[in-house]
Amino acid sequence: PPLVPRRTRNLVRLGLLEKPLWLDVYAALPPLREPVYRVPRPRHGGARDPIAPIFYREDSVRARFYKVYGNGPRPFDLTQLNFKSTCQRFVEKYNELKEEGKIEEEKLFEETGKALLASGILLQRRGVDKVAQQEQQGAGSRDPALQLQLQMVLEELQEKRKDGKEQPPELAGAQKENPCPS
Amino acid sequence: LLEKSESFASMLRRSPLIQMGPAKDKIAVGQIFHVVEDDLYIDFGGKFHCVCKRPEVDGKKYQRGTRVRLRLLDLELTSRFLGAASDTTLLEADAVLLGLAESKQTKQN
Repeated sequence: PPLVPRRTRNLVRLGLLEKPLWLDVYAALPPLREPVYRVPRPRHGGARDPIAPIFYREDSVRARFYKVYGNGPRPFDLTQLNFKSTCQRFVEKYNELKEEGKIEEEKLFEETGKALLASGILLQRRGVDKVAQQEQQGAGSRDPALQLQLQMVLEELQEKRKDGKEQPPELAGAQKENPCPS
Repeated sequence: LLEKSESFASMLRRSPLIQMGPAKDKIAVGQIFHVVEDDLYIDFGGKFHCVCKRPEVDGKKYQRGTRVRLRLLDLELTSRFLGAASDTTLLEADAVLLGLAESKQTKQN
């Protein structure tokens, strides 16, 4: 017979314990298996407790952003909830452009980069020399074709400056460390 | 200032932790909250703090409250020992101290 109800009943009968609520309930509806704690056996074959990883739709965009542009010019500040990293801006701009529907899928990534450039956020593509680029943000040589393209886009979109998106120091800071090849 | 109540899931989705993704080699800013001789205890807003050695250059500038730049390596140092059922954690993160964080005026985004 199950241990805990038996002992409890004896104690109540002796008058040492006030009758608990669950005693009658247990007598009327006993569980199928006595609720004794059993240590969970480690499962064989590598089967773990299936906890689904947390993935969002924008994670694919983020992954591509980090692969192409590396870390992004701004260091992360994890202490502030409202912190918006360069990556996050990229993702939001990407979703914006995607919803507008005017640009086709393959071009979306590039177009987002250009749009961010217009707002003054400078993105450096990750070169072959990964270590040097990651240590010194913004350093490294830009190839002339990219430089030309950047200049063109900047001139093009100078009028359509978005309001209050990003502060100029971002651009100024990158340019300071990076003397223009021209 | 009354903010409309936002669910935890929503806040998590736009939190800088999720924005960051894997911590390896990401640059973050932290603040020194404790100093023991040459060991600097730096809090960067992650689950754990990290401990770095005081750099040779500008060593005296690193005091309590100093903001620094870090390259994160691991958010939690864990390892499993032989015969153990689960990992043992050091309750510490791992990062490389890059230097002082330049204090410039940044707008709240």
